[in-house]
Amino acid sequence: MGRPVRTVAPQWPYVDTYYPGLYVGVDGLDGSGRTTLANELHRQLQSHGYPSVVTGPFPSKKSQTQNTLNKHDRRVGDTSRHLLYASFLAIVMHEVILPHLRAGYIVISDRSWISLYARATAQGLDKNWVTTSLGFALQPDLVIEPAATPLTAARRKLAGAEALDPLESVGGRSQLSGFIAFQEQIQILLAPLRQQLPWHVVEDIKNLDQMARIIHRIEAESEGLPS
Amino acid sequence: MTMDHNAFRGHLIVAEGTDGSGKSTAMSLLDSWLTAQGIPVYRTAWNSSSFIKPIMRHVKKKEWLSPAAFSLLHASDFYDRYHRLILPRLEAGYVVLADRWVYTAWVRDTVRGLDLPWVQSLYQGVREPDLAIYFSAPPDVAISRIKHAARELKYYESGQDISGLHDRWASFLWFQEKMRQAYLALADQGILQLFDATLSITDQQKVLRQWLRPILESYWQQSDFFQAPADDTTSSITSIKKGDF
Repeated sequence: MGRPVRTVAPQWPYVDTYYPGLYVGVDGLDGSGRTTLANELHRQLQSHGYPSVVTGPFPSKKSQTQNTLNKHDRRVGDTSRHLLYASFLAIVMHEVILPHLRAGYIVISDRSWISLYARATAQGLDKNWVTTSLGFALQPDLVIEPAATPLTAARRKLAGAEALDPLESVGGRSQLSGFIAFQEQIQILLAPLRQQLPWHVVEDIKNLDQMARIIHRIEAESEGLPS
Repeated sequence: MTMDHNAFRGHLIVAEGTDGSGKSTAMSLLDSWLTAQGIPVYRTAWNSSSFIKPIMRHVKKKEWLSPAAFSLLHASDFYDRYHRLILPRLEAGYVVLADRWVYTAWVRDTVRGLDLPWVQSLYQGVREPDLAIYFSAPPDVAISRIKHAARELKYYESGQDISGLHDRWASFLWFQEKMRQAYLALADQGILQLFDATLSITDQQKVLRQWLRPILESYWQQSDFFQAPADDTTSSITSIKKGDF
């Protein structure tokens, strides 16, 4: 037994109905520090003796490279791009996430379906259509969100990248105000999900007490996991 | 003065059917026939987006595609071609000959175990064809055509991802028969027009050209497609000459 497989669309035809592992989604604003948080969680869980793995949005380095080549080609439409990302998540789900959950791992997803949904909807695609397209995706047992305002997220982005990403911005504005407007839209889209799913916001990953509380919550959620 | 988009109404002709049913050959011949008459034609094939192709090739080679991933990646390919290549031409009045349309996804993805309403929802709002033809050929005919073309079957094409059969040809036969039944159900519902793909190529063309005649009448009544009307000197289309194509 274990946890029931819950997908975005009810009763998606998976072979298994239960898994013994724990699925943790790390979601939030672009630039909020999702990858940093996912890696830090992984490190600390391992140091506590839990089997854990971090998964990203791409099934391989090669697919990431090929995607990067197309990413900013304005000829690629939002619908096609969203479906491409959704197919990547479906591959990662099938090839990495589910096998590890079946084997009893804590799987930390650096972006679950929630980030894909928020981005595609903020880009103007129909919310219901986007949700339906992600019907195959596993619902996280716990969502961890790095706290950020749109402005702090922009500051983080600018510290690590040459420029802000036009795909994470509302067009027709200055780079910064476009990015902030887009992230505000994402905040609005995430708000109802925070009420519906087990959700934990991390204010500061450098704060050891805070991280200890998150690990404790994951430990509580993953009670009975093989260590 | 703006261009009159209704002067030429684009038409979408779709060929559906299992691999080896002769769709591509028939479409190629129709293309030549229409082009020879000055009718503007654009051909598009399933799974041919230049942006998606390298990714598709990579993940197929790795055999990473679950039914959902397979479905979503092909939908991504479709929408890239639909928005970028197909819709602008339909709006400009071209005849678009599509070697497979959304029905391929309906059939293949449901044979792979996905729910039809989910697959259909991925393609909601996509334009319905003016004519959607199902090239009906028994799997053994399709197999002999593929063998004649000395072509190797591929993993997903033969349905080995779901059949559990080690022998590729046996899997292909099983998979194509499943798809044939799903196509025939669409033909029974009147969504696809049943076409006997076992006819000789010459006889096929006779039938298909007859079917296309009513759709093409508007083109035969028009003057040169690429020539602007005499009083429409400011239209952007005046800069396009037939020889440019």
